[in-house]
Amino acid sequence: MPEGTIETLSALFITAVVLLATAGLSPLFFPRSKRLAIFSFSLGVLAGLTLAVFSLGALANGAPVKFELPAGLFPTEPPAFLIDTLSAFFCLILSILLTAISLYSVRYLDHYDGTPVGVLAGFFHLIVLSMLIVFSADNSYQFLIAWELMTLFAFFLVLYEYRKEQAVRAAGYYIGVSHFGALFLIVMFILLQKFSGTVLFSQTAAQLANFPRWSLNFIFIAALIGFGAKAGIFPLHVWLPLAHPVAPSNVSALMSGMLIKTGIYGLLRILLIVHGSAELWWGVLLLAIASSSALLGVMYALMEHDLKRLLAYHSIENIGIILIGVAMALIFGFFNMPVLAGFALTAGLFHTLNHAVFKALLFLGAGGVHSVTHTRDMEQLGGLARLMPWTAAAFLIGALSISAIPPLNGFVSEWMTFVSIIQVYRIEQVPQALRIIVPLAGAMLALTGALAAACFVKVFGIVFLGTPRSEKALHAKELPVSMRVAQWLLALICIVTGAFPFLVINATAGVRIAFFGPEALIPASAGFLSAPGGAGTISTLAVFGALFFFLTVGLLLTRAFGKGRTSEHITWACGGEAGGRHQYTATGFSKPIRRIFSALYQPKKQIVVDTGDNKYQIRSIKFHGMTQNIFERYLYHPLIDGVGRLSQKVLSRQEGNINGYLAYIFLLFILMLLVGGSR
Amino acid sequence: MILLLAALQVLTLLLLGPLFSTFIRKVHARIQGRQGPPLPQGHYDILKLLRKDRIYSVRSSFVTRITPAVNFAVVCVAALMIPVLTTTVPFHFAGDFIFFIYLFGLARFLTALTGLDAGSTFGGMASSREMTLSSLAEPAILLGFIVVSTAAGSMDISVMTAQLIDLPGKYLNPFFILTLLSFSIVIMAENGRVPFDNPATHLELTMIHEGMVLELSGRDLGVFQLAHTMRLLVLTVVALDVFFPFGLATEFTAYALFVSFGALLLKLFIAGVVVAYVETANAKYRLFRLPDLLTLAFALSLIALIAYYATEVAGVR
Repeated sequence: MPEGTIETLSALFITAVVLLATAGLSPLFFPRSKRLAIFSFSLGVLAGLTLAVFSLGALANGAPVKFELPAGLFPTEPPAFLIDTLSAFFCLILSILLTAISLYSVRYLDHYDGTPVGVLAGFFHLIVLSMLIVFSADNSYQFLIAWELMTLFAFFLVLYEYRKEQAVRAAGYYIGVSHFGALFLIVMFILLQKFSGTVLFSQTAAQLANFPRWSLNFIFIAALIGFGAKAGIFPLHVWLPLAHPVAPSNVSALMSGMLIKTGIYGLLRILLIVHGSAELWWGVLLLAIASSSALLGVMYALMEHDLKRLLAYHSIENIGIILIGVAMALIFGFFNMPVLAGFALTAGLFHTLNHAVFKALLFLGAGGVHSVTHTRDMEQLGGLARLMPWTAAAFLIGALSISAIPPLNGFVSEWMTFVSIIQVYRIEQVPQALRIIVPLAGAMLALTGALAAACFVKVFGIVFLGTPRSEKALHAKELPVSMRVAQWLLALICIVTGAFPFLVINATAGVRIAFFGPEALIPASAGFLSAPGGAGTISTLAVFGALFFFLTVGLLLTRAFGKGRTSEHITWACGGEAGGRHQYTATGFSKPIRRIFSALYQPKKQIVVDTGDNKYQIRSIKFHGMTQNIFERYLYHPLIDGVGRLSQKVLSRQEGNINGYLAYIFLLFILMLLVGGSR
Repeated sequence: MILLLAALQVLTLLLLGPLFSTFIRKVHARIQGRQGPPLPQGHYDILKLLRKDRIYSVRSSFVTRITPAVNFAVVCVAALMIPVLTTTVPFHFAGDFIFFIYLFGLARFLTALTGLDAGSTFGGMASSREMTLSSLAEPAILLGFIVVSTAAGSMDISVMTAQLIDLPGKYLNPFFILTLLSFSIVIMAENGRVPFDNPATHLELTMIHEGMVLELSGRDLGVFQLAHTMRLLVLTVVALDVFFPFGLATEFTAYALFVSFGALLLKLFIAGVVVAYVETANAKYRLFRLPDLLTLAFALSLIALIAYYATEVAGVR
């Protein structure tokens, strides 16, 4: 490859970093300046485009782009940047979101007039910058520092509306779970360094023979917990539905779209090193966690009527679907079937891209709805499709994608996941039990997909269709052009990657090869995508074409016979006039599901009847229904109480004497040296 | 050639769709001692509707306006993905069984949205029930499909059909019979037949499928009805293809096509009579008993999967 390419790519990467640093730091000095915030987001769009060019170039190039900062400046090994295809793929996703969300944010700031918008703009770009460093770090210290900074910056933005009690509680959960995860990551990195003798990821894999068996298993578990906490897998998900909704919507889009994907990235980065020595139970455990995350995520989403919290629960679902692909890749990899393993891994990667795109799209839509109606409560919305048709149509495309409705992108990745699950019968030496368990995971995935569709019928139907349920929804108006463009940019990506899946298949070819060697090919040409071994072929492009053809025929059929007229009338309401309150509510819509799965939800209701003086005359009836979150109730509340009690006890060891504290730190230091010191 | 076959297939199903639904109504009537409608009644009804005015609610959005055509398009594309008269499938490169199943999700999604679009009370009720029941049906059908595709070694519907024609002793094999039962339950659910829903009822509180399209009228309703009858036929035909694949033409000659058309009519005749008997013998279930039925379908699929591997271990196959 020509020497110039690498130099150009490095230059592009550094440009993006500089742009992001400028966009991130400058508004922090003048937090009240809206102009500077707008300037910052404009730089963000520019950085996004630069990064997109860089990532596409790096993916097309195939060879890793790497550079180190000069040694002497740092006490340990200098930060090293290495962007291989795995990094480049995640950078590509980041660049798409950065461009769209920054563009959206320019006018979205109007919604936050009077608040320190510079803080919003600054930390937004600093999160992106630290994510970029996470994706490109080759040095584990550098990775961890960027990782922690990313968590911290996001923490500030979760607290952006710090006067709301909800935000404070959410931020507490967020930082707590994140650091619980980080603890495992630190131990994991210590082990990696101890047995490999290097802090560079790129050189760790070669030392795999030096790792004792227990350490590999420990590294896998630690990575699963540490990165899983960031990704929001069950049961480490609790912070996610709390933290994502309280942040400003552009930040929610970034968090749900990208921040949780850093967990996927981290897990893949570690798996890339250790998967050669994987054991079968790694994949099976991951599959079990992933399928339950997916199913429980969507189940809880169904019960929500806070628009943004509902979307946050769907992130848990989709992280589960992504990890099902990764788990199947581990299982196939264990049995040394590179083609199927590569296919399953690609399913996960494809879904990572898809989820980033459509979840950002949906959050931008939800943010738009929030900014014009000032409510996130679905029960107060309705009829927005007539008032904001562009936003509604883009949201519908996102809703169809996330519900895995063909021929959009969400379907393609879910199809690939299904295919991976079904192909388990091809493994000859597989234990019989797995032949039953893996299809059961497939059945759970099917249920998940169908429930997601039910949930998004609810979301779109209640929020955008029908008639307004409150005064707030009555005066909604269409969003400014730039916000619409940002949403449609993402909607178009949903359509294009759906119609031309080979774009993503080819972009991930390098990752497949890095994991499973050059055999891991997926035949994909312009219109077609085939399952390994010719077990089935789909062509979303052909289906797009055929659907349009028959759609035209169908529309012509309504004109072909006679000259029937079309007129508009008010909706029939049995003689009365149907108001907003006559419609089905979001709570009512999910009632059958609440009842069928009542064992999980444990629904409770409270009915207060006010009869006043005369017990035969009812003045008012108040109904309050709720569902229990059994994880918070049975896992987290006891845990938090336990930690509280423990810290009460530790209090007696707090002498307030600085020598005492120094002794503690010294003891800890000795302990760390004993555990982690190199051989 | 492919285009000719595609046109033939869609036209066959377009013509047979309303006929099949009317036929089931007719058998119903006969069992109940009534005369029943003449066989082309379904066509008459649709043609009549296609000439009529349509009324939209002032509240409804673009969703209501495109739903009938989307339903029609989905069922036509699905019709291209299955073997109808020949084992050659015009659109086999475009979609396998999973795509086929998921494609109906598109129609269902928009139809359910139409239920909420006009802001009436009944539509939302029906949408909610439809989405709940279809969610519960999905695991059963997917797991059943996993069994069948494992047995056939492919997910391509035409390959599956061709493989299963040659599978010896399949009607004695437990996995085959169990999947057939599971699929039958799901098809009844997907098409809103008794005991899931009563297609003949017009009582708003009990209906599911009809409830979502209460606000459709005239020409739009005509197109929707056409799509609806075709959907029942397409799903029945795909079940017949998988479980009773005999009679399908393997070459493209007039005689073979004639024979396979006759075989199709015969199979549909039997299927229609069976459906009508099941519907007459059962009352519509209470809404919250339906999950039990769908769980049963899921359990049947699961037992089928276990039975499949059990017979393999026992060396029966």
